[in-house]
Amino acid sequence: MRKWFRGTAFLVNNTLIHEDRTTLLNLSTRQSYLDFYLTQKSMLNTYPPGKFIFHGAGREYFKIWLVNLVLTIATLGIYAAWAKVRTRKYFYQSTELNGNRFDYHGDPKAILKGNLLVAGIALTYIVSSVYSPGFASLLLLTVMCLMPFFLVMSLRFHLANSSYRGLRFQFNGSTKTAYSKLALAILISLGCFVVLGMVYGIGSGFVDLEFNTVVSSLLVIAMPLVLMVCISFIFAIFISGLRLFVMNHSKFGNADLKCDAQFRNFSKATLKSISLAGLALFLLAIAAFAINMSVFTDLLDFSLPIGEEPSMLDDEASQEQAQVAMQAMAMLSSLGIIAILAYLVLFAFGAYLKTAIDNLVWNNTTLSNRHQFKSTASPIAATWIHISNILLIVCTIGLFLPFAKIRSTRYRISHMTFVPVGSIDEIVREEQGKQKAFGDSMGDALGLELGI
Amino acid sequence: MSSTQPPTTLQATYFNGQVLKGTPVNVHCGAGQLVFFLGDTKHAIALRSVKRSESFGNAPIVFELPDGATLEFDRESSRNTLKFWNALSPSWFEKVQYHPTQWLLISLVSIAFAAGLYGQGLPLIGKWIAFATPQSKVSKFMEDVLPQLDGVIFQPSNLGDQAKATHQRQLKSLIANQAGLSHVKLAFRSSKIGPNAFALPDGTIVLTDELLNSLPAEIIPGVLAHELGHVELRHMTRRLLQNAMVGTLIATFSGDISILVSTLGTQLVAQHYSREFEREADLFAIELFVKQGRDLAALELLHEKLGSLDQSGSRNASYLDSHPGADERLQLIREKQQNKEAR
Repeated sequence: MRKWFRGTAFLVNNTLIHEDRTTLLNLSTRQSYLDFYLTQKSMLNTYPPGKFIFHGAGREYFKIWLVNLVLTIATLGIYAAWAKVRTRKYFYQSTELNGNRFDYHGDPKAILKGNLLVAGIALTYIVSSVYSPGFASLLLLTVMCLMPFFLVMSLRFHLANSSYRGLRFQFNGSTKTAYSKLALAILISLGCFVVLGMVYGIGSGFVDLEFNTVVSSLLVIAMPLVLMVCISFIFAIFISGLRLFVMNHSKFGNADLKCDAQFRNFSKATLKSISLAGLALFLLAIAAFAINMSVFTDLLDFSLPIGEEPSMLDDEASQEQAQVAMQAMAMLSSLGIIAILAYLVLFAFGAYLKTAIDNLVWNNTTLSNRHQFKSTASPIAATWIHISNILLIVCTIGLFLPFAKIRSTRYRISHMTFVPVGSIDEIVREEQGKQKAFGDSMGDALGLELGI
Repeated sequence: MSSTQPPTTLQATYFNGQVLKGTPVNVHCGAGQLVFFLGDTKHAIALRSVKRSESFGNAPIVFELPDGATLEFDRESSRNTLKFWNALSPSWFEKVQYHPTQWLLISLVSIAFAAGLYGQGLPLIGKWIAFATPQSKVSKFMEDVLPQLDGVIFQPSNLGDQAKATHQRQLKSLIANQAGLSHVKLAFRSSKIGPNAFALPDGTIVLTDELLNSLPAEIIPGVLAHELGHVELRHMTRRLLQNAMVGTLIATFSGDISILVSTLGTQLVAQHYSREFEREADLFAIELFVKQGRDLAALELLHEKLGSLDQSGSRNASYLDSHPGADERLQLIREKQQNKEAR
C-alpha cells in the first residue's frame, strides 16, 4: 500500500476508491479500516475512530447498589424492577462514544410484570415439588423449552429501550429462528455425544482386552484430548449460534449490525480456552495426588512404631494418634485449597472464553455493512480482573460487588473502538411501520431478564 | 447565596430523534417555557410537558421533549442554572445519592425493616396459613410425601413386629385425650441418613431403625412426644410455606442481587426457623409429660443419650444437627421439674 495520498476518496460498494480510480481499500475483504485510517488520515474527510469511554466510578455505583439492594429486600422484591432500570441507566449513561452517552429507558412496571411471572413460576415449582415432583419436573422442562422465546422477548425489550443520540436500538429476530437455531445446535451436539460415546466404548474395549499396551496407553492419553475437542466443538456451536443470532438481528436506528465471524474461529477460541483450563486442572490433579501420597507415607511412618512396641504408654500412643490426625487434617485442608483453586480455574475459563469471544464477535461486526468495531481486550488481563474480583468479593462478604462490576465493565468498554467508514449521518430512525412487528407488544409488556 | 446572576442562556445539544446528528442550540427560559431556535424556527416548549429521566454520575442532563426529540445539557456547567430555572426536580433516588446522611438513613431503615419482615413477618404469615388450613386438607395434599421419600432415602424396616407393637402402644398412650392428634400414625423405615425421627405434614411420624436401635425402648416416648409437638404445631407445613415464600421472593429479586447473597440469606433464615421450631417441640414434649404425669427423667435421659450420640460423630443425623444443644434442653427440663416440685 502506498504511504501517502492526495485528493478525494469515494466509497463505492464497500470499496474505498481514490479520485484517480485506484482502489485504496476493499472493505469486504476485512482489511482493517482503522490501520488504513491511522496511516492515511490526512487525506480522509470522514469521522475519526471513536474510543468507547466508561465513566462509571465504584463509589458512585456502590451508593446506588446498596440502596437498590436494601429496598429490594425490604419491599419483598417489588422494587427489584426499579433497581434494575436504575442500574442499567447508570451503566449506559456512563458509557461515552464520540462525546455522547448511551441511555436506557426501560419501564420498571413492565420489568415488574416479568419478575412476577418468574416469581409465579418459582412458587409453582417449589410448592409442586413437595407433593408432585413429576409435575415440577414437567414445569421445569416447559420453562427450558420456552427459553428461546424468553430470550427473544428479553432482547426485544432491552434493545428497544436502549438509545444513543436520541436513536433507539431494536431487535427484530423471531422466535421461530431462535427455535430452529437451538434445535440445530442440540441435534449436532447430540450427534457429537454419540460419536464420543462410540469412540470411548471402542477405546475402553481396547484397554480392557490389553490388546496392545502401546495402543491402549495411547488411547488413555488420547481420550481426554478427544473429549476436550468434542466439548470445545459443542461450546462453539452454542456460543456462535447465540452470539450471531443476537448480533445479526440487532439494529441501531435503520442500520443493521452484521457479524460474519467464522465458525472456525469460534471453535479456535473455545478449544484454546478449554485446553488452558484442562491443563490447569491437570496440574491441580497432580498436586492433589502428590499431597495425598506424601501424607499417606507420613501415616505409614507413624503407624510403624505403634505396631512394633505394644508396650508403649497409653498417652504416648494417643499423642501419636493426635499427630496422625493432625496430618490428616492438613491433608484435608490442602485438598480443600485445591478444590477452591479448581473452582477458580472454572471461573477463569469463563472469563477468558467470554473475552476471546467478545473480541472475535466485535472485530467481525459491521454497522450499515461498512462501519467497523475494534475490540482489543486481552483475555489474560480480563481473567485476572475476574479472579481478583471474586477473591475480593469473598473477602469483603459481597461489599466489593459493585466495585467489581465497575472494574470489569470499564476494562471491557475502554478496549472497544468504533471505526466509522465514511459518514455515519445517514443512520436515521427506523420507520414506524417496520418498528412495530407482531409480538412486539408482548416484548414491551414483559421486561424479562436473561443472564446472557 | 451567590451574588452573581446565573446566565440567561444555556448551551445544549438538540437531537430530533430522527437522525443521528445533533444540533447545538442556545436555550433560554422564560414564563415556564424552554425557548430555542433551530435555524430560523423558534421552538417554545412548556416546562410542564418536558420529561427528564434520572441521570447519575457526571452523565448529561437529558430533557425529553413531547415530540420525541431530546435536549442534552452538560451536567457540570448547566446544573445550577437549570435549578434556578426550576427545570430540575431531582427524584428522591437522585437526592439520596447526593446526600450521605439521607443515604445512610434510608439504608439503615430499610435494613431494620427487612430484618423485622424476614425474622418475624414471614414466620407469622406461615403460621397463620398453616393453622387456617384444616388438617384433613393438609393431609390429603401431602399424602404422597412418604411414598416419594421411600424411593430415595428409605428402605423397609427390619424391625420385629413385637418392637413395632410396643412403639404403637407408646404412641397410643401419649395421644390419648389429645383432641388434635388423633390422626397421628407411626411409620417404621430403615434409612440411609442414620438415626432420625421426623413428623411429616400429614401427621405421620417416621422412626428409623437406626434411631430405635441406638436408644433404649423406654425412652422412645420422649422422641414421640417431641415429634407430636411438631405435628401439633404444624412445623413441617410452616417450614414448607416459609421456604416457598423465601424462594419466591428470591425469584422476584433476580437480577441486581447476586446469587451469592440470596442463597446465603435463605440458609441463614431457614436455620433460624428450624431452631425456633425445635425449641417449641421440646417445650410441647415437656408439657405433655407433665400433663400425663410421666417422669421427666425419661426426657432427661433421652437428651443425654442424644448428646453422646452427637459427640460420637454421627454427623449424618440431621435430627441432631439443627437442634439446640443437649445441655440447653436438659436445662429446660430441669427448670420444669423444679417448677413442678415447687407446686
